[in-house]
Amino acid sequence: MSQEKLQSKAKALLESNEADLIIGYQKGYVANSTRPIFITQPEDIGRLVLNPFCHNNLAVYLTKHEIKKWGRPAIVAKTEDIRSIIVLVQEFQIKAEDMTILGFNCPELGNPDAAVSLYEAARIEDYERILANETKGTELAGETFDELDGLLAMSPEERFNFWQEEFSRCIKCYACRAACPLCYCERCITEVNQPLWIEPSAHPRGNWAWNFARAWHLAGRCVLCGACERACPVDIPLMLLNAALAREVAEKFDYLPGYHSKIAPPLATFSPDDEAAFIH
Amino acid sequence: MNDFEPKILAFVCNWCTYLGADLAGTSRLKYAPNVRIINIPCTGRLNPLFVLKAFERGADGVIISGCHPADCHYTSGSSIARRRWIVFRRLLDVLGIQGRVHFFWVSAAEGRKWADITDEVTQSIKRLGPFTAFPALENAWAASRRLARP
Repeated sequence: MSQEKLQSKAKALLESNEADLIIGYQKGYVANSTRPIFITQPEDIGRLVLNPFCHNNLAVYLTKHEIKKWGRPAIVAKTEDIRSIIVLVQEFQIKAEDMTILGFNCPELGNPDAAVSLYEAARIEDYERILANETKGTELAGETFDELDGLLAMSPEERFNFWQEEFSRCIKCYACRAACPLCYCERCITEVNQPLWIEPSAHPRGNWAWNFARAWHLAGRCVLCGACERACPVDIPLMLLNAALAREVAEKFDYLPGYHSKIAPPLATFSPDDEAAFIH
Repeated sequence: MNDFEPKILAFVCNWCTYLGADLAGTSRLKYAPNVRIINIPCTGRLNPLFVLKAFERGADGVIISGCHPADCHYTSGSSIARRRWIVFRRLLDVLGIQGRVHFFWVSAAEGRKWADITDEVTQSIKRLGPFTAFPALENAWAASRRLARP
């Protein structure tokens, strides 16, 4: 039912020229999967699907040149993806007024019987209001955080070995970077070779540096959508790192990313009352 | 481990701690020779990858030291850096690197403090022992390569 509603909404947007491009999901190649689709003609709207298998965070496309040149996009986005769009607007990567968000909420992605409901909003300001009432704070709980507490209960050596074990599988495919809407740098630090910050080979030292840099560059920005971990072909628990930093930022600066597009990001500002006990 | 002399890298701000260290020198204060100083324009310039690089290249400990918050030459550099360190410390902690990175505020007038903290950090790193985690990764990798290529 939500699917028909989404299709009619999207069709109306294209026909009224309110949007030039619909970024959404279509049927995947195998059962219970979806893949991205880019629709510019109203007659193709029938290919748009909406179901509990819409895993990908499509916000990743919003910053791409190939997409930007099409004009004003309308994007199908689930709750976490809307938060990442808000961060993109906050960081001046996309213009909120050019964009329509076809938001939906699915509490249990991956469960075929889960309910999918559309939000009754189109503009980023409306979504900011909706998100502030509905979901604020719930993302800082769950399995990942229980696992994180387990990890923090270990000794530093055990933790180092745990990550060494996990990172040793990394093949430097950068799927985590490609899947993340907030990894939008045109020239990533890992492509800088003068000086060489991150060794490009799948070497333990380079794997460490890459995973360290990826987590660090998302500190205070990551909305915990989980796209990196889903994209990882060797199942490195990237969300553990993201969660650790997200919780630290929430605790220390009382900030959750993806709820306000108009305030300064926490790591780009400061307060005289910040913690100072560790500096002697 | 008594004959272990740690290598400690200090990233210091050009306007406060570097002059503080200079004052320690001109005041003829004696302090641990284990500390190598790298002068950066402001602690806000410090990319956490510098620290990781230091460990990769064999440092046993790192000192990061800059201006007291209200004294920053660039007004807010050291305050913004402090926010970053708060999160950076958590990242190091989660990854299992603990007690190796030390943060200080040393002004240009605090030559004595600089001498004291370098001694203090050197003692603390001596107690921890050498940082072998990264060289161990390196050796394991080299060994696996030798096996792979007869």
